[in-house]
Amino acid sequence: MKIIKLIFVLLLFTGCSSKNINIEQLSNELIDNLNFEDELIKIDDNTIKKIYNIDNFINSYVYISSGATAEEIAIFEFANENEAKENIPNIEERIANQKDSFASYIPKEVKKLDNAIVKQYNKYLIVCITDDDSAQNIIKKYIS
Amino acid sequence: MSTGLYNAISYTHKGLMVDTVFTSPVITKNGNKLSVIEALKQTEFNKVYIMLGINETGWPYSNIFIEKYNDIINEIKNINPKAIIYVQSVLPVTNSVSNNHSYIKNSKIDEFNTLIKKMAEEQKIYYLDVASAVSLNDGSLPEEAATDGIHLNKEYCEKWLEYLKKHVILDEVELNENN
Repeated sequence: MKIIKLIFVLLLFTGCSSKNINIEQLSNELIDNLNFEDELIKIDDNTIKKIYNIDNFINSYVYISSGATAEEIAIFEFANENEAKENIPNIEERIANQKDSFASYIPKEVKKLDNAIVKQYNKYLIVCITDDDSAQNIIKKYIS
Repeated sequence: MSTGLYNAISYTHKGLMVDTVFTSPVITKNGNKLSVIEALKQTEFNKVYIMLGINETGWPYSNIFIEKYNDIINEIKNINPKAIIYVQSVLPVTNSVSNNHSYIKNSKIDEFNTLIKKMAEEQKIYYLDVASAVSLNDGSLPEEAATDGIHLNKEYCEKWLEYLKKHVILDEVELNENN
């Protein structure tokens, strides 16, 4: 009986973990393991709202470049999947604006923006702008 | 942005210059794309802080740079004659950049800063030597201040912000609040 209970608890736990992401852990893993050219800076909620034009997230971890590169990590948690979906155009607009800025300023950065990772997974939006190919694998661990 | 300074409206754009301030529609306001000057016309403000110049260091004629900078000041005075206007010195770059970059040189930045300071005196506006807050004795940016030798990291942005906080002219509203 104890074994059955343990299996049930484990299944329950696994079920939860497939829906919820520890976004702090994911942002830390990306920051610590990816090879960024610039030293990315964590920004506060008010600045996030300004640059992403998103104000209904319930949790977020956003790191931006000093301006030297287009590198960026932005992970948002919303109340539900619909809210996450509704904010995808805001992510796309941020990336388009960055492309526009960097095209004449530091053109080599546009390639990173062209290859930007933008993933919506349940109530989460994950953005990663880097030329380090291992970003996909790190994110995959959290959303599959 | 990295310092969390959010009680201010910022009109910024990568590569912005003293001429494109008037012409490039790079500011999104109420869903429209506007130039910085057009955006400013639609903004209530008492103080304005300007920093321009690093992108113009490749221009061959410094007099054109300062003429266009003067045009900006005149236009801001037209938009709001009561506004307190600060012009900030151009920030220096590291010696590595200054020695190797095709046009961004600290000697040119020094030349621009001399012109900006003189313009501020003539225009009776405020010149802020923010470069002094982040530079070494030789006037260059320390190598540890920026990964690319140009764009400040968070620590040095905070030094810049501290300088701004310490060099403030109170406007009428603030003077009344303090009395």
